[in-house]
Amino acid sequence: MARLRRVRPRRPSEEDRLSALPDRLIRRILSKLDTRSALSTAVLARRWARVPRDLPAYHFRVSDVLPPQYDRTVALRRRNLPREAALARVLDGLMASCEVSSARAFVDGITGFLDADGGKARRCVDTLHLEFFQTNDGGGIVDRLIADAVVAWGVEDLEVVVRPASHAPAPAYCFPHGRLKDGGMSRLRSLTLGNCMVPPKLDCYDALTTLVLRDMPASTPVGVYERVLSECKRLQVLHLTSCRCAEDHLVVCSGIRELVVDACSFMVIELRDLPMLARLTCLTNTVELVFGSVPCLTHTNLSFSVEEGTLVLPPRPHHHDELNHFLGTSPTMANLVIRFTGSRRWIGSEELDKPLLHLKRLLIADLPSNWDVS
Amino acid sequence: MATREAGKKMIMLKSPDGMEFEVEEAVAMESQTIRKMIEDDCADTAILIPNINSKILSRVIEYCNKHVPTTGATGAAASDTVAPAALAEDLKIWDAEFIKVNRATRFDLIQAASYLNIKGLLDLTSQTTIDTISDNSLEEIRSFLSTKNDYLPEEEQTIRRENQWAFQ
Repeated sequence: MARLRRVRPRRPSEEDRLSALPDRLIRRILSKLDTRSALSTAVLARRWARVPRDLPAYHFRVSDVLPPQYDRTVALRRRNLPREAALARVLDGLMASCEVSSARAFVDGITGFLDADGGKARRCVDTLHLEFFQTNDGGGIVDRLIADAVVAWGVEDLEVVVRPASHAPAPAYCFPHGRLKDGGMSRLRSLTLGNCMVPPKLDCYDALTTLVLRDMPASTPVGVYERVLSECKRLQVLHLTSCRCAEDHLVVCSGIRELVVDACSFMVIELRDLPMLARLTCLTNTVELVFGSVPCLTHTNLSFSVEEGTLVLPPRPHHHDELNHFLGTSPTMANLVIRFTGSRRWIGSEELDKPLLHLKRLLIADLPSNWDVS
Repeated sequence: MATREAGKKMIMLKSPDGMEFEVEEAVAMESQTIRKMIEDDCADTAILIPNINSKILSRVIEYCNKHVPTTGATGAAASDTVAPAALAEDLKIWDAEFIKVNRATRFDLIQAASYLNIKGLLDLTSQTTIDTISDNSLEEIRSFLSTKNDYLPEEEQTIRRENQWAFQ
């Protein structure tokens, strides 16, 4: 009879069963806790002191220490409410003091974390997600945390999101590119930058396969996006969310497999040469999508929102030809979702030259009434 | 005893208290530990599972039975006909019912899931444990764990400083 090797005998104790589990299991359970709760378990008892040191992922988010009414106040002030100037000033003052105190709490929290064992604490971390207010001191503590995380602890998945503070617009946060020498740059596999300057040279990040850019400022030249695509040679996935740009026209040439463009300000996106692109999602106000060479596209989700009253180009005849041409040249398409919102729809229908042989799922929502879906 | 029934290979699992459970090989192979034994050809007869009593083992088998990917007569995955989202939703509801057990049983299930290496069950039991402690204060967690604070004051201060992000 086959036997599994006997592990340690069961202790018939009914008390403290969680503590009776091996450390490896406790760590696995704790890895499901949010970072703050997981860190707090260290003070339970000596046995637990080191447990949070071995967590595989840390999420330090200033949102976690902001009071709940902060977000409501921000939303209110964004709509320029309340109208009464005196009340508005009081709210602004409250918001500013929330921001200052939580920014300080963040710096203190990170400082304590980094200074453990005189700054020599060994950790083994895969994932680090940061969200913080940029302060006028230039984010020195964040630079140190990122450098330690990537170079010393081996973080491969890094997210750096800067929350805009209402009270004092600080200079943009620059990703601490210069502190990631000694192999740090070539370790990162996934990088998310929110409202944060893109590093000047991306070709040293040669393991990077996933890049997410969020909330890029309106002053960002289109060259930044095009540089990302040309410099990250091994990039597979690119997400652009709420990105604004100084120009309107984005040309995409890359070996990526997945492209998501969501709520960005580009008016024209030209998919010029994407030999490997399999998944495309475009949920945006983009008025024109120009299809060049996309031979491997299998999953497409397009949503066009053209509101009446906004300045839109008059419907040009080549638009629907483009879409039909694109459908005709994508015989591999398996999933296609097209959704039109808004009152101006500029796509007319036309017979397809070739049937979509591999199409398994088709959803066309909010159609103009003159469309013949058959 | 490994037997064949209706074309499906069966595996015998034995608990240390003498109970025997005959399960389909595919069900038993939800456990990576047993899968490895079968693949290494160590499981030609029956497998004794030490440390896991029959009560817990039968619950584990119940879980594996539910979570084994169902295959039709042609071998095509059944998820081709049933929407995968609906199937996942159904499983979630089933899991929530399954894990309504007392604390001692849950810790037994955690250890069994870890030993037998069943990722889904380990995730489910861990998450449920987390849900029961995450809304509690430290004192409540201490009493839940029957753990005493054995730090010296200065030690506790150092630990608090290191982890002060938790207390901001």
